[in-house]
Amino acid sequence: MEIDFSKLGHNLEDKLTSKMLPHIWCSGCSLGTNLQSLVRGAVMTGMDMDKEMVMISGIGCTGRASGYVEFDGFHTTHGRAIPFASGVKTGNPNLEVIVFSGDGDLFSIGGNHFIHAARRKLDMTIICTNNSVYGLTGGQASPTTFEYSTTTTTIDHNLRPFNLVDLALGAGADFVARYTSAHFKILPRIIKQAIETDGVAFIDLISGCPAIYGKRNGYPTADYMVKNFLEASVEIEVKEDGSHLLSENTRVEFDRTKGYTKIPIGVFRRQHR
Amino acid sequence: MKKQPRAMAGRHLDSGNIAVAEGAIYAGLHGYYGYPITPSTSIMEHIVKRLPHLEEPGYFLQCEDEIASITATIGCSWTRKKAMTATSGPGFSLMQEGIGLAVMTETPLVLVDVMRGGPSTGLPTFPGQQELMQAHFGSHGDYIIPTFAPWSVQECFDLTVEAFNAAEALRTPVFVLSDQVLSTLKEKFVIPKEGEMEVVNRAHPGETITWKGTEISEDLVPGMNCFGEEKKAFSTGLSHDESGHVDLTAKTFERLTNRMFEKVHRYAHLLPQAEKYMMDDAEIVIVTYGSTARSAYEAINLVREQGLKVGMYRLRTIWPFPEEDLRKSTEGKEILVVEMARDQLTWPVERALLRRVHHIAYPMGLIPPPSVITKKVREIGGK
Repeated sequence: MEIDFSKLGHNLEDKLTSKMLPHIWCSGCSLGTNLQSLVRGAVMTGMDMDKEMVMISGIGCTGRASGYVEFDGFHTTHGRAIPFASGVKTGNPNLEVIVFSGDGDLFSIGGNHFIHAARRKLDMTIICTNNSVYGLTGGQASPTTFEYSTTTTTIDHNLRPFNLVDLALGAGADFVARYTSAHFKILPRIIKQAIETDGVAFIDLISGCPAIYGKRNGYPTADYMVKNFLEASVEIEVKEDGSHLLSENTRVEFDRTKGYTKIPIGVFRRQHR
Repeated sequence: MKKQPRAMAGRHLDSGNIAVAEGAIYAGLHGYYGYPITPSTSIMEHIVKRLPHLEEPGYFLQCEDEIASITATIGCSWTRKKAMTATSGPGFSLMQEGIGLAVMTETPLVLVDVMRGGPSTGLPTFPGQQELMQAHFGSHGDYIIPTFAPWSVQECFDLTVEAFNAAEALRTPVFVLSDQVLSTLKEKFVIPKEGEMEVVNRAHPGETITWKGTEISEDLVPGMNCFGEEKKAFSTGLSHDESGHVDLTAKTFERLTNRMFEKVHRYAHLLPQAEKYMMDDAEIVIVTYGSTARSAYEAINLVREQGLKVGMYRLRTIWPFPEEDLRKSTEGKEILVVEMARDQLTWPVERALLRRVHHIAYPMGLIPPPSVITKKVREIGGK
């Protein structure tokens, strides 16, 4: 069957920079749905994406996202999306600043900037596409790569990964949530809440890289990955004593042969200053 | 607290670092991003007393490191606000990554580097001039950044204002290379009234601006579309086309990088020109800059009394190096380069003149005293 691509449309077409498409991402990647969730969330806020919002990204697969949407945007150097965002926010406080980047960019080379942003509480939204791998450079271990998982730089085993929710809570972020890319129905609403938070909002967006990470680590295809995300996700139960926030209760668990075995999801902190 | 005026017009007795801070505020500074490091810190400490208390308040942010400082400076500049950072040796090294990003995205900003002795932690509280080459070649890739060097507290003020104007007019980062001596040296300087000195603001897309009476070509320096304005504003450190979007073809990359060189060289005559002291009849010319020139000035006055015809070519713009002007004004004269570095200023000088020159290398964290210079001059002059 012949497909006439010129006639295919997208209901968010006017929010996408069509001249930059097709994007660079592999088939099966979570980034397409993540970006769509972000754009839907931004639209839900009722703000003007071009005049009131700035999307800043770092380096890596996720870093390219800022070029594909009609936000004002900037593609910074590796790990520096957050300091750039701090400059934008202090330059013009009327702008809504969104940092959209990956786990390697935000928590390895940019880790120091993240904890200081959370401490400093300049109003910004930080969304981390957390796929536990450096995809663009070919599959090296990232700071959220799981123990005993295989990457090109961890053949036998890896050291303990960061629990990003625990890290964000500890550093003092005002809004902390975790969902997976398979939760695209609820995500726009969560992203809207994050953007509307007055302070630092952080979303740990568990995502998949079937092409490079999944095939070596228990989720070889995109459809298996989506099912795996939904099956492993456990909504947190808020306890009065706050024990649901303990590190062991927010930790993501993973098995090299099966993929994710437990993903605690939900909004862990919602703070109004 | 009472609102403060931008221009603290009048006569002041203060240090070079204070003059730098006042120059930046005079030129319209909005955002300052910095990290404490000797000997640049007092710029930041003065800014924090002034910037948030202006009638139109600016913003001061103490960053977690110098990498964050330079990157936040770039971010602020993309909201059409004037932004700066200041640092010294080790901090300048950390900033090289962001400097490359500022060049590639054609971001106007001012970076003041108060030089101290290196390598590494080196001599934090003593002067050096060892960051001259770093200002040119520090970040990877080909680029040219206008680099100014003051020699007095007054010039710390003047050249900082000039630096902002050059940055805005040419859409480029601009360096001011001060040093530890100037940072703490106190002397008289005058701040003009608001409007007495030219202050340039960058062009909007489709707008043509003038700087020092010269129209800046929009083909070389495209108007800047900033965040929150009409059209989508976007840029990237990757090779990109005129709209800011990624384009990795050889043609686009060549066009982009050629234009970035061309815009600085085309308007190099508008950058601060070298000061020529007693050059007309001079047989020996001392080529130097910064606080080292103060010592050379004293030495020239001493040896002139003894009948030696010595002059000084004091660089105020170091990059792009004024090759032609230096060549023309020193034809047939002996050249003596004086610097607080082992072998840095000699490179561009010898390259410009296509010959070896005499040299005083003084890299031990002190300005060369006039006696060292007079001795060398007597040697060269045969007296």
